[in-house]
Amino acid sequence: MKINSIELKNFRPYYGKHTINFATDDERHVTVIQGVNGAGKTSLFTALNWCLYGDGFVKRNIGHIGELVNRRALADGGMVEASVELRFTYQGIFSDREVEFCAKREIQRDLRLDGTARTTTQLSLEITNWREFQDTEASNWIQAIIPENVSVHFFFDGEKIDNFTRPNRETEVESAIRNVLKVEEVERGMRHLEDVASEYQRQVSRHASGKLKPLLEVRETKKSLRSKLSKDIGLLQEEVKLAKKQKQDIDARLEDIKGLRKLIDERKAIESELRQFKDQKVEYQEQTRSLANQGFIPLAKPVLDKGLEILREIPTGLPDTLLNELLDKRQCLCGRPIHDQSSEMKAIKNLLNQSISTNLGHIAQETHGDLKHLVRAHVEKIPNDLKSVLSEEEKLEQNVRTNKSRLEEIEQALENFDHDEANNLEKRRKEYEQSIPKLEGEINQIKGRIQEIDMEIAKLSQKINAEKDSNAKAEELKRYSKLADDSAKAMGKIYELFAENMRGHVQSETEQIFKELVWNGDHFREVLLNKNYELQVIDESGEDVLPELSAGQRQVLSLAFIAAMAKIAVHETIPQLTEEPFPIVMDTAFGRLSRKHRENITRIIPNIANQLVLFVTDEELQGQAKANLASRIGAEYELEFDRELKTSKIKEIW
Amino acid sequence: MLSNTDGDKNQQSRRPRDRIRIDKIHHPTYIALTKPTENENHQDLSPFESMKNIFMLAIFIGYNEEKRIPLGKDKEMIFAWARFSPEEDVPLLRALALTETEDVEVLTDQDRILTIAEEYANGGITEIRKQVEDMPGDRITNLVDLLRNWYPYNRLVSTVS
Repeated sequence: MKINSIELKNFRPYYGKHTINFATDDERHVTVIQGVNGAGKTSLFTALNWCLYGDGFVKRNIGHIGELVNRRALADGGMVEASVELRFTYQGIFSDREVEFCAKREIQRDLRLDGTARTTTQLSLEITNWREFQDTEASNWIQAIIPENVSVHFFFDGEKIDNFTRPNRETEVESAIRNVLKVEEVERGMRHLEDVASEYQRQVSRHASGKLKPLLEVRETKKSLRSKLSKDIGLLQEEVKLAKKQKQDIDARLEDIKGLRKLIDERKAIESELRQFKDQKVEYQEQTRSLANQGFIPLAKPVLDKGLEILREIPTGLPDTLLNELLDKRQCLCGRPIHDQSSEMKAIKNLLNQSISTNLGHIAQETHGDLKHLVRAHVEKIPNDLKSVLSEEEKLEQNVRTNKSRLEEIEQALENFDHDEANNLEKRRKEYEQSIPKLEGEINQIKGRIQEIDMEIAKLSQKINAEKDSNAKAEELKRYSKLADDSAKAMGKIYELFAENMRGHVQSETEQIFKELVWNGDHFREVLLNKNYELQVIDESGEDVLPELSAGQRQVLSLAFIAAMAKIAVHETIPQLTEEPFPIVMDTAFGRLSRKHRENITRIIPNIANQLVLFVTDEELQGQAKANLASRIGAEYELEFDRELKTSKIKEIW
Repeated sequence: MLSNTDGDKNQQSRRPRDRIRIDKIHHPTYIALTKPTENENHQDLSPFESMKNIFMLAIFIGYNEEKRIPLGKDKEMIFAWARFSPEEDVPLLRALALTETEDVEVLTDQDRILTIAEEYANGGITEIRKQVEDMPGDRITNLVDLLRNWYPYNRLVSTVS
């Protein structure tokens, strides 16, 4: 990320518009903004932060946001608009090219006559040649590019950065490492995987209901019952077969008895006829049902008559399509041209008014034909056909009754025949005769029960399949859950290694930079960052001398810590998390530092940051310190405060 | 005749309704009348071959008895429009709608045609249930007896006992 320019309008002491173009050249990337105390340096630093992060920053550091509007502008009256426009480039979105962003935050302040003020603020973010976002969306974009909790380590007040080096500040140190070096993202990934594993586990308990086993047992019981019933049918059918065979044998023996042959033959013929009658009866019943099912057609006779009457009255003139065509072509039916006021034209329009649409006409015509056909072909025929089928069936019933009556007479004759064996045979035959329909009834009953069981089995099978699917899903979810759990554990290990690795890197880099920055570096043996993220500075005798460091030394140590993180963030984090380097913006950069420290810092810092913006007083940067930066300065501005007008001006001096 | 909801005349541009609905309360009757009954030694034929045939008979019994009853809230869809035969059922349904509305435009309005038919069937089905399903004896014979109440079937009375 590189900041290209900042434009202020009526912001704090800056009346009207003021612009600073920052140095962005790879070699000369240092911008120096100098001014005496009260000239507007901190306001400029505030402008940068307010533009990116809004009112929260102002409330924490300045107070009321109404204070942001220039007082002279307010005195001009009416509604006053103040704004900060920040242009910067960032490569993180499209890896193949840098993209220019323009963030603009505006504040409108309207002073009412009663002295109260109405203040509204608005943020917009334009991604050049692509899109523009407003307010929350714009803010989300900025947080994605440089989160506020990261920016505090790159845009800072030099006098306030010794936080890291004060006692009991390990939380700030840890949080800085986590935010800047994206350790937090690894941790977030781990937590996410743990959540995923828990969610899968919840789903597993929803899917694995444990119903499969009892369902399978019930189905097995039903199948066993069905198998037993099928066997019972087989046995009963055997009994029927046997009874019929016995009957045939008895008939054969009765035939051999003198004087009975004729009767037996007659009985055989009647029984055969009755079997045929039975089939015939089924046929008549089917015919009756079929005719009765069409019975609604004759019942609809009143509707048919009324429908036909209405359809007959529908005009059967020329179709509307033809009439419309004649109107369009201004042509008579005979082909003669006609004009708008002619009688032919009026006649055609009249016909059109009376005509119905072609589609409706077609349906009406078709319905008319169908209804006529129904009346002609069905209304009389169906009752007549039904009458004749019923009549035939009645005749059949009569024949059945006659035949059954004759069978009874034959039976009677055989029972009374003067022959013991014949009497016994007939008695046994009668028993078989009676047992057959009884057995067949049992068979039918069992068949009915089997049909019911088949339906029950089919329903159970559906449930079992659904349960199996659900169980398969549960198994699959279990695998996912385990995978997520294992991944979370693996990521946990990565996290520990990564965090430990980062801590180690930060420690050695901080130590190296600190020793270069601090004027008496040789006095310190090492800088430690222990597992609890406590910074320690060990002197030659092995003692932790952090509590004894001067304010200036603590500032240098903090700067070394920030510079170390900036360096590692760019060069040493894992590739997927590599962060684009951020500029370092320091307000009151060297206020507390001694000359020697300033000289060291100005020599080292430009090599660590890819862009450096320094807000300094006229005294902070001079002599060797200024000379150290000379070859790296690409832009230099001076802030001037007009005591009379109470406004600041920005003057470009390089 | 009782006048009633004939569907919306202004909705012809959308796709017409395709499913035939009955009051849910009558659904068991439609099922029972298309199901064979088990007897001790054999299965009796069901009195109707299809729900469509019950529906058609119910319409014209409802019409002849002047019973047109709008459907209630709980409905059941029993078959699709395609089950109606184009040569017999559809012309009869159109004739019924024409007779009822005396508006020739109804011929192109399937929604209105169906609504009229459903309401008459809703009126006629109770009579079918009472006389065919609830009466003792063979249900096909009961069905024939039901038809005999109406012209031209009443001429059969003299020939069949």
